[in-house]
Amino acid sequence: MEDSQNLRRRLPQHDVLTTHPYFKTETSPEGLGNNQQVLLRAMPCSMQEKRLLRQLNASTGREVSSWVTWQQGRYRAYRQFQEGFRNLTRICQLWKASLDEIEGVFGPGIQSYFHFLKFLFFINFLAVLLITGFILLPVTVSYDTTIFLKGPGAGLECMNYSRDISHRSAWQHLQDIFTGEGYLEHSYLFYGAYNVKQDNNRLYSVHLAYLLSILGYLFACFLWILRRIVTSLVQWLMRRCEFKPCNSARIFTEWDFCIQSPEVATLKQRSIYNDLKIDLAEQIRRILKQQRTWKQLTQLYLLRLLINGVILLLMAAAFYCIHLATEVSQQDAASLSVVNQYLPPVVISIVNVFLPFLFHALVQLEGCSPNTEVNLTLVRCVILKLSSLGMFLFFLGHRVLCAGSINAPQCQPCGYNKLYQCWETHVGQEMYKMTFFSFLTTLAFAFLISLPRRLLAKHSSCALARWLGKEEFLVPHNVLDIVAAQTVIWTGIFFCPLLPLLGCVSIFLTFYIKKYTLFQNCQPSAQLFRASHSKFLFQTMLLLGLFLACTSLGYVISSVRPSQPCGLFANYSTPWQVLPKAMSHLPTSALLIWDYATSNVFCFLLLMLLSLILTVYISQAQANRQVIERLKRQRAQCVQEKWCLVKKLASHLVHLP
Amino acid sequence: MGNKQTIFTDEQLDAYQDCTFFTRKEILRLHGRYHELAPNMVPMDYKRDPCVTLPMQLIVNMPELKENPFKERIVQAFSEDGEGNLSFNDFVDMFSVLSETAPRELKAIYAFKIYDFNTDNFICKSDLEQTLNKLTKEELTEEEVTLVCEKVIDEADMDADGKLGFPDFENMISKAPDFLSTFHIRI
Repeated sequence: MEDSQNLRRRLPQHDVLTTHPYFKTETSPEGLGNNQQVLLRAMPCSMQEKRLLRQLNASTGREVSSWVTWQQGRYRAYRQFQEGFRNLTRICQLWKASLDEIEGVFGPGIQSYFHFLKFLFFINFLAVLLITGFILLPVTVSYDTTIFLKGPGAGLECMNYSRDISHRSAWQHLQDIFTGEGYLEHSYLFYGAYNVKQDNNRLYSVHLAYLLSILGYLFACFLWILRRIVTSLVQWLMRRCEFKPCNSARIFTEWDFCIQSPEVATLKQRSIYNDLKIDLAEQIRRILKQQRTWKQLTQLYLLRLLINGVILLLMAAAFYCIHLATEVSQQDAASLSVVNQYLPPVVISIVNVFLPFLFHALVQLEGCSPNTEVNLTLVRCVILKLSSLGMFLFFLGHRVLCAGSINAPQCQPCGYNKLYQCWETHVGQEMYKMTFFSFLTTLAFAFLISLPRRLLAKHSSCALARWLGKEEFLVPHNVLDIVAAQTVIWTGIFFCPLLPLLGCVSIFLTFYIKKYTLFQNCQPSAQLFRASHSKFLFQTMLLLGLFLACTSLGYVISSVRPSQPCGLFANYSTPWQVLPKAMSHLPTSALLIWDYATSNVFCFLLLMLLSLILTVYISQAQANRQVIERLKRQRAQCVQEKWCLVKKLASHLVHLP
Repeated sequence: MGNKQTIFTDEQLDAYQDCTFFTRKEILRLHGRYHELAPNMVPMDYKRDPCVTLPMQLIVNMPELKENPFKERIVQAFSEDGEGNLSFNDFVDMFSVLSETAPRELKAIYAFKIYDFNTDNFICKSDLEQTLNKLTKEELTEEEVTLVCEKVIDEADMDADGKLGFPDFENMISKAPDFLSTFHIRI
């Protein structure tokens, strides 16, 4: 008892300590148990004091029931178990050493890019697991897949799909790796190879599994990304600060304590200095902005409108180029060279390399603060990238699926363009080409552009070399590239089920290539990207990509006639029809429940309930905000009261004899 | 690994595990690092809790701390005598608070101690000026430093006393989500 009193007198006079939960031990009953362990290590006193406290509580005074001792022992055993488990499951700590190394040298901003790569690797790995387990294994193990199906009422023109690859030369076989034709076309890589007879007697319906596993996987991705967005959104909302803008906290949180190399330290110090200078300049700018006249404001807004119009025009021109490229590459596929077939990905890449430069130049004219400029350019690049991908899919669909021109002569007999007898495989090939091309671009950039640039900067001192300098690793643009690649993989997963495997391999290799580029060819960027809102940004980009993929997939699954000479869904009018057909085999009670659950009344009631819950949460948040304001004012008043009382006391003491 | 070491008793290792965020292996590794800072001063046998402290100069030359502008303040904040001499207990304590798993509240308390240069339990204007000068290696001009310090106090001071108390500091830190990832030393 005496020791703890002594201890309390010796501890520093922080307010927080006297209100620390650990000191409420006298009032709370014996149930601290393992909480005591948890709180002890989070206590702000020195090690000696903590060990003393631990001894005190273990040996003297309080009656520690056997239940509490058991809990403590159990907690300690659990921690040992966790440590052992972590030693065994090192596989989940993929690339941990590399990530730590990158964080140490380049900071958490660039490390967040590599962290994101790791996340995408796991997303693709999940897809590979699901598809192998639910589709590939059942098909290879138990089914006879060489039956060519003939759909009802199909004429000969729609069954004209040849699977003969014997007449291809060796050179063509080599090209097939790049274009996905020949041997690859009829392998399990593409949808066309999964020819399974519809058999109602089998327990396991591969058709249903194919549809549901892909839809389920996309839904799981959606939930996973949403969960990550919500955690970073909460932090972002807190930062938005309805109270006062708190940029000044930066001087306490900016310095990264992990930095060990002197060059990085100098660079960090430079960047902090630059940030502070920019902040001061920003303050001056804000004052000037207040003093803008009406005339200047209207001029500025007109200019901004004009610039946005120019940007829209540029994007429209880019889409037209993509349209032309698609038309050229979708001509009679049998006689096209590899270069012609790769025209759409090439054009999309060129568009996405040159247009951001123009965006960057145009945004300077808009008269915004540097931060806003960077964010605006980034948003425009994201929109450009995803919409160029979307436009490509649209033009492809227009051509191959006759979307919008169902009465054209080549579309009438089959419901899709009869030039593409197995159109799913054809679309899968396009996605395969795009994925392959994005990987090739990564390789090419690393070795054909970064490396010469570094050699030039190192060995030559001409004006060009000095102007170019070493490359800077721009995180947002790299992330945009991998998000676009992932969108392509998600779009192609229905047509090319093993595309995520290709994605896994390419991400694995990309990690090491980018790490090599980073360490050898790049200098740390002066504009150090903030790790905090990057997670939110990356996940939002990924979510947009997922929406794009889901929209196109949804259209294909629900409205397009599957091809007849190949694939799982040849006998259905749309792939979605598998579900109602399978459900008709369910017992009547299950069907009844399903009818109720999907009826209008039930959905309406559910919607009402959700809106009610949402209203409760929103009103609670608003009430909390008001309470915070009130408490803030109260706190300031308390301190003023305290000083008033002190002054009063002082004046009384003066009058004492 | 646990039963073969002869540096600490099991009871000591348990105590360290309870009082810090480290596992047994990490504590032994930390002892190795502490020992190699001064092999002739630090004994290999800690079973009897020897009273060995290392001076600040040895600690601030560690690669993890060498490039940190606040290295002296960090070591002083964790030393018992306030001068920067760290015993092994303080050494482990320091890296435990700066480790990845330490909670934000604990880190905020020690960050406050570190940035409070004159140890008066308040971060006043002179403390802020010193922080800023250490961060920018004194490259900002005097007026710029004053401007920034005034802005910080203006934004963060909740109880209007012209300096930052611990509640003000903690409130400001809670709005900076970078804090947890930057106030972290990996060892």
